[in-house]
Amino acid sequence: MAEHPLFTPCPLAPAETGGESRPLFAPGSFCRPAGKETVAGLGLPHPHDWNPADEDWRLPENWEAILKAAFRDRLRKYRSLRVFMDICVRCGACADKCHFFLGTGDPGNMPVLRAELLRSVYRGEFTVAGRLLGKAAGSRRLNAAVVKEWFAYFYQCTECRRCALFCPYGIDTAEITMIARELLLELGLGINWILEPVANCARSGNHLGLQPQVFRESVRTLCEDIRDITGVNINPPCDEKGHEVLFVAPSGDLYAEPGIYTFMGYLMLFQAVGLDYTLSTRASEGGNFGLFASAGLARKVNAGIYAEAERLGVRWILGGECGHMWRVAHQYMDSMNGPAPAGLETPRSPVTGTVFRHAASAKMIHIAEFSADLVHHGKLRLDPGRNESLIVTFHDSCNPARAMGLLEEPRAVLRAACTHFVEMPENTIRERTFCCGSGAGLNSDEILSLRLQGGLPRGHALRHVQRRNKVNTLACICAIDRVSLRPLAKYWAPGVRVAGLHELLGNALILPGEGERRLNLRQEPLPGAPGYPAEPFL
Amino acid sequence: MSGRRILPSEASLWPVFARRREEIARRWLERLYAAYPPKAAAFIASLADPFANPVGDRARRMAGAFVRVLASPRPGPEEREALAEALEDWMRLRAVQTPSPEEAVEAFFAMKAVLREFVPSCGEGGPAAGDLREAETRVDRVILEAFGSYVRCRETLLAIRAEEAGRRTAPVPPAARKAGGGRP
Ligand code: SF4
Ligand code: SF4
Repeated sequence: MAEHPLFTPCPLAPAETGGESRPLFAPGSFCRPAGKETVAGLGLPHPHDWNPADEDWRLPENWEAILKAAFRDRLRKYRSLRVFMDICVRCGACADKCHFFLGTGDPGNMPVLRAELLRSVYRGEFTVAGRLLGKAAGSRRLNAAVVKEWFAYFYQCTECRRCALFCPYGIDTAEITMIARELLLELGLGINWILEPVANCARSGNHLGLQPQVFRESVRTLCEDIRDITGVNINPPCDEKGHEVLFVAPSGDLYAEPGIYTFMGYLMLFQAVGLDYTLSTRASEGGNFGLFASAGLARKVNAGIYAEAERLGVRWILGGECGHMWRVAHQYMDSMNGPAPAGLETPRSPVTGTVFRHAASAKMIHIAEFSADLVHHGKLRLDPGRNESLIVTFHDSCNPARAMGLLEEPRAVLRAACTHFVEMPENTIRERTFCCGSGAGLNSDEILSLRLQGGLPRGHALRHVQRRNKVNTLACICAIDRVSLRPLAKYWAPGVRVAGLHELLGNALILPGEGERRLNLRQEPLPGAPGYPAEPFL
Repeated sequence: MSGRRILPSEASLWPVFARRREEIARRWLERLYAAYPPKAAAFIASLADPFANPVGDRARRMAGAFVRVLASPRPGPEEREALAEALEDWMRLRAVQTPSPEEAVEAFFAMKAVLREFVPSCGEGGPAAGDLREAETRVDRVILEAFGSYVRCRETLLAIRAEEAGRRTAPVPPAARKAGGGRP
């Protein structure tokens, strides 16, 4: 029995790294915790004010019992969790695959050690052998220091699943992180950057807390910009019943550059193909920060989409460029909030007739699929020369790439819309893509240098193609990326700017009835137009 | 150090450095890696793929370019440019990894000790001693540049932080966007 891998001490157990990892809560190394009001507002247990840098986290008196009961409950509920706890053979194949380990050099960020933080407690508290053999079996009992380590390291994981790709047993450390964060929430320990957007969603339907009139006003302003650029008037239906498609974008695309240009691209695309769609102020959030906190909050945030699709009587749902929305839509939505309302049908492109059978259950597809299908069938009139000044590379966002294999679709659109497209090195793209370092709710300013360390592997590959191929544009299909890759590129590859796929498509798209195009969607002169600079946009 | 032996007083050090460039780089890399916890350092030192191991890649390029400049009697523009690029890449990394400039440049000082390990003992006044002084002066210059580079990277970091904070607290209101505000 003692030879079974489960009962041998992990060669890399956290205790073994003693002194190797950095102090847990140095300034700039942790996210601001969610305050009492936010936690209480969401109806979560033990709301209290606390500070990770303090010695005393003001945990509830019976915190050990709460945590053990919650852990036991999750082990019962999720068979995968028990399997992940039991089967790791500590081969180390995942150890050097995490961008946070590669960027920080902190062994505590090796996925195997991250998971070991939970696994050691599982052994110590829930297995007989672990209890009997103690440290010799790599097991630990719960104590306050363990809780602190959990908070430190499970909030240094972006749930990107890169490690899972290399694990011969398919152990998904991202899911272990999800559970650990859920357990911490039971003690009132969460971060503001995640829970505040979730609270906003509960109040106004989107992470940013945009009120319906602000949402409408933002869309109207972007339509004015489109008119200024193309001469074409677009008036997107909003909250209207009786349309074929409900379009849901991440709210970040209505808020700041460069997301707003991507949103303009969506609207132009729908105009170009005459899509019968509506926007909704109630389903005004495609993203889901609840996913980064707990399954319960993910379900709550997501529920609005089906409810609104049903209320508006649409036939299917189209999602904007978002990464984790994709993961929710394809992996959790129909089991969390499904089955989908009876009126919904398997998505079918009204332009090409393509039926998206993989979405037969969820009834929702990603806009990159929709556009790639249009490109494939030659349904878009494009002038890629308008993107002539851009040498583009593509960042595969973790969730679309690894959660559902959305790999070729964005590339097909880029190749059609741009004249220069180059790939970053093979082992940094597609399924093996490196995270932006800011996913899963970690894109907060407090930890900027930690995020940039996590973003090193991506930045390193980007710098390489910038030097080798003169790449000046990093395209992506995720709203968090559009925000977080900006500082990443500014730091690791200054001069490269970030654009959404549909911004680039919108530049190239020839709209029916448009006037002479002189400006791109950022209202900069197009190549060959008056005012076009000799050194474009760098 | 096995390489220590008496050098004829009229001989130059440059051929010695040139011949043992790789060994010098390896020794200095050990000092660079010492900044990392042993488990991480072992990995950084061992994996060759530049994109699977970006820290190792930057460290190796740094050491290679540094030693090339030190080992040449008159480093040309190509060697200097390679050093500038490698130094920039390395310090950019260190500037986010450590908030302490002392820690970030510490390993560069160690280069002098490393060089001396490879210097056959030579008299005070001969050409070899002059070469050593010249090499050490170059190390000093690289230390200065490393420090400057660290400071510039930290300034970039601050600028990015300020810009991001501004974006967070001030959503671009539609009217301001219309007026051209908030555009990059
Ligand atoms: S690759 Fe899988 S089995 Fe191997 S150490 Fe990592 S999680 Fe464990
Ligand atoms: S899921 Fe991603 S961030 Fe988390 S441990 Fe694995 S590789 Fe690291």
